[in-house]
Amino acid sequence: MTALDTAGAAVRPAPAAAVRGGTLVVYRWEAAKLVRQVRTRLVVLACVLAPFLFVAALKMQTTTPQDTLFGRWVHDSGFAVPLVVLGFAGQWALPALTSVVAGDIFACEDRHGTWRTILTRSRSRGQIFAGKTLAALTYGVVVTVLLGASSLVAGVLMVGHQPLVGLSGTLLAPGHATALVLASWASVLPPVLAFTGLGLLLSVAGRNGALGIGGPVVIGLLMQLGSMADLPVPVRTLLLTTPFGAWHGLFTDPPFRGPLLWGAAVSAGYLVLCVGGAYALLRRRDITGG
Amino acid sequence: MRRTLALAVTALALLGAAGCDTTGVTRDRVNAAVAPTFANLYVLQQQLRGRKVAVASVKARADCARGTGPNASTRGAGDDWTCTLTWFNAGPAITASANYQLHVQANGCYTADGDGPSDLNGTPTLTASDGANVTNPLWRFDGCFDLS
Repeated sequence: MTALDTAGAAVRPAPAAAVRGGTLVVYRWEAAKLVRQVRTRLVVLACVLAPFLFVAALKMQTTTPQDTLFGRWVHDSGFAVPLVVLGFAGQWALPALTSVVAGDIFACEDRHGTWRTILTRSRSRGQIFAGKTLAALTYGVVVTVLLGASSLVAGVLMVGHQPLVGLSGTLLAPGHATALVLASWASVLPPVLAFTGLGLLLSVAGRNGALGIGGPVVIGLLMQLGSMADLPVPVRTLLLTTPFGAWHGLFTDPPFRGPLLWGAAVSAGYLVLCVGGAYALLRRRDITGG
Repeated sequence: MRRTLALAVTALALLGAAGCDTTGVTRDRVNAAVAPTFANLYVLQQQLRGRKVAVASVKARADCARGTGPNASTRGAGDDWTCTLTWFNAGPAITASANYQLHVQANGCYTADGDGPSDLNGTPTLTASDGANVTNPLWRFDGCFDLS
C-alpha cells in the first residue's frame, strides 16, 4: 500500500495537461499491445475477409438466405450484402468481436499478476483505467467500421451496384442505398460500445478473461432470446440488442427514426453504467495481494 | 451491479410477457405496412413484365388478421397472420385480389409469402419482358413497421 500511496501522491499535484498526457500514454501503450496481439490481428483479418468469402459462397449457389432481411436480394443488388451481414452480425458477432478485447483488457493484468507492477509506476489508477477503456472502445469502433466497409465493398465489387428494393418495396438508387448502408452500420456503433462497456465491467469484476469475453455474448444471446418474445414495447426498448435493429426504419417509406434515437440513448445509458461500475470496482480494489 | 441490472431487466421482461398484453404488433400497423409495400412491388413486377403501372392508380388495400376460427386475433407477433390484398388492376373499374401468409416478428418486421394467384406470387422467379429470368418481387417480400 505504501508504494501505491507514493505513486498517487506523485501524480496528484501534476497539472491537468500532464494528467491527460498520462491517459494518452497508457492509451498508446495499450493500442500498441493490441496491434501486436495475434488474437486481435486474427479478428481484424476475419472482419476484412469474411464478407468476401460470404459473397463468394453465395455466388456458388442459387439459394438465398431467405430468413434475413434483404437476403432475397443478395443476387440482385450488392447493397443487400452489407445489410445481410449487419443482420447476422447484430445478433451475436459484434458483441463477441468487441468483447474479445474488452473482456480481457483488465483481466489480463490479473492473469499475469501485473497490477502491482503497473500501478506502482507513475500512472494513476484513473489514468490506467481511462487509457485501457479508450483502447477497448477504439478497438470496438475499428472492428465495426472494418466489417461494415468490407461487406459494402464485397457486395458492390462482387454483385454490383444495382438499385436496392427497400423495406416498403420502393427502389433505392445506388447513391441513396450507399448512404443508407453507411448510416445503418453507423447506427450499431452505440450498442457495440455499450457491449464493450459490459465486457470491461465483467473484465474488472470477474478478474477472468473467459468471463469477460463470454459474459457479454451470453447476455446478448439471452436478450436476443427475450426480444423474440412479444415483449411490451418499453421493455423491448430497454434491451441492449434492440438498437442493433434500429436501422430497419431507414429503409421504409416514409422512414421512421424513433428506434435510432432510443437505441442511442439506451446504449449510452448501458455504457455509462458499465464503465462507471467498472471504475468504481477498480478504484476500490486492494491490489497489494497480487 | 451489472448482474442485478440484468436480473431486473429479465424479471421485468417476464412480468411484462406474462402480465399485460401491450404488444406493438397490431392489425392496423400490419395493414398500413403491407398495402403500400405490395403496391410498390406490384408496380415493379409489372415493370419487369413490360407493363407500365402508376403506383397511385393501384390503390392497394390490405385486410390482415391473425389465426382462424376461435383463435382469431388482431394483434401479436406470430406466423399465423394472413392478408388479403385488393387493388385496381386495369383502370378504376376492375379490382384484383391476392392472398399472403405473413410471419410477423416481435421486432416489427414481417415476411409475406405469396399464397395465390400463382401467376402473381406463385413462383420465385419470373421471365422479364427482355427474356431474362429475374427475382419475382411478389413471391415473398419483407417489410418493417414502427412499433412505438
